[in-house]
Amino acid sequence: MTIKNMNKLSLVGETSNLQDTNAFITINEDTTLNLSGKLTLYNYDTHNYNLELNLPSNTNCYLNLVKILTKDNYLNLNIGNDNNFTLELLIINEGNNNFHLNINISGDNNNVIIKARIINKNSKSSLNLICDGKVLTNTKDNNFIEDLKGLVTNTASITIKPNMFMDTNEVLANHLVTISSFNPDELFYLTTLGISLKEAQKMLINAFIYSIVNPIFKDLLNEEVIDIE
Amino acid sequence: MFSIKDLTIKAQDKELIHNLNLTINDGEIHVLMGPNGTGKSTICQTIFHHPAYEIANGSITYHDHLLNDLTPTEISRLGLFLLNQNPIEIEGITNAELLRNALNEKNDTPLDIFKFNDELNEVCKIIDLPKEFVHRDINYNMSGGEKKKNELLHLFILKPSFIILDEIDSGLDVDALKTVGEALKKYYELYHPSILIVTHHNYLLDYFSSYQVHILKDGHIVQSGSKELAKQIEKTGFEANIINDNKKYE
Repeated sequence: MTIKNMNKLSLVGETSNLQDTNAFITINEDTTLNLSGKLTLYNYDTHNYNLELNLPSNTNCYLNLVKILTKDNYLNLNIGNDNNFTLELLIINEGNNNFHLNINISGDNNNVIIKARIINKNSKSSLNLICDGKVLTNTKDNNFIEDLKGLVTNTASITIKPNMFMDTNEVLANHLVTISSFNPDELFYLTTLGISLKEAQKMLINAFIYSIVNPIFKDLLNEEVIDIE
Repeated sequence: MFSIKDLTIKAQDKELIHNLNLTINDGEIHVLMGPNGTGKSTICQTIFHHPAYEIANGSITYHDHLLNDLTPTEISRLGLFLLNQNPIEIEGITNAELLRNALNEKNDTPLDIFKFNDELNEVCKIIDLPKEFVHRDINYNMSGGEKKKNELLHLFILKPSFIILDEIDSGLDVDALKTVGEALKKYYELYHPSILIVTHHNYLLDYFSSYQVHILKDGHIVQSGSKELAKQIEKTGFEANIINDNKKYE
């Protein structure tokens, strides 16, 4: 599948309601989305709009979000009761920016998975990702996973703060953060097969990116990925 | 001709290999045997300049090219190939992508994708590997046997003239060992490469009619001989052979 033959949805206005949708969405300003039913959503954001997602109850949502980050930006998630929510987020950062990811779980019986992969576009860039996950008091039966990884390809820096604030004991929570540069064993293996170092690094950057991004983004991402130093 | 002269290898200032000498003429098969921890894999990795090892002294040459100062990419493009004992898993890069890029970078002319696909299918038959493996990530989530066959896929497509087999027979069941042995024999008959085999056993050696055997101990070669030496070692072990051999010179 490509974006061309996907259902596309252009959201106009500060607040939109989405129900039972499988679509590539575009937004043109800071937006609040009220989600319900079963949703699979894709978004490619080059303008760095702030986004607020509300899942009051019984919502099953997968969001694959690509952000080409050039300024400070945030994403707020408000989770109520009985929801399944998975976010797979790629940030390609250019410049010195902060990205704030706030997750508030205020109800019961939710499965929330937050996966983020971060890479800087050039050596002059630095990204500070703050991920604040909160499970509020008097809630129960929530599963909450934060899986955050940064790939450092040059002298640029990545900082990740994986905060989890658990105000209840009845929660299963897990957080994982990795910031690393290229794996030297992987580079060695690829180069012993005749691949140049530069091409090997490019292949590993692609592997990192497409571990989280759906191939439908390939046409949009090609230029951004080629430019990564 | 491949030649190692007076090679000393260090890692973190510790000497692992001392004054190693080895010459392998084109088309010859040489076997490196020795107890665990004597540095057999270290030699294989150092030939390709693994960053963990340092050539402190000596030289490695192939067809008059000094490998000491070359990158792993340059060494590979001279025709050398390393089949690993524990092939690394790389998620997100498929075999097809890897081999396409390797061939595209190596050759001056663009790759004929139809011929490439036909060749992949042909090789999969030879090594008894399902065609789907071509589009799987490199060694990712594969069993030990599948990983070794996957490495053979790379071998047959890249067609090197000098192959280093670093304990490729370890961890293989009888059937996988047979497939690997027959595939290597077929490759040898087709392309007549030089081969350096690192192994503890004779299983793989039985697929080749003629080879020379070297025993590595304490960082250097202590004994060399014909295929009979390999058979003897399998019967009586390294210690007995090396001690007996030393007694001859007392």
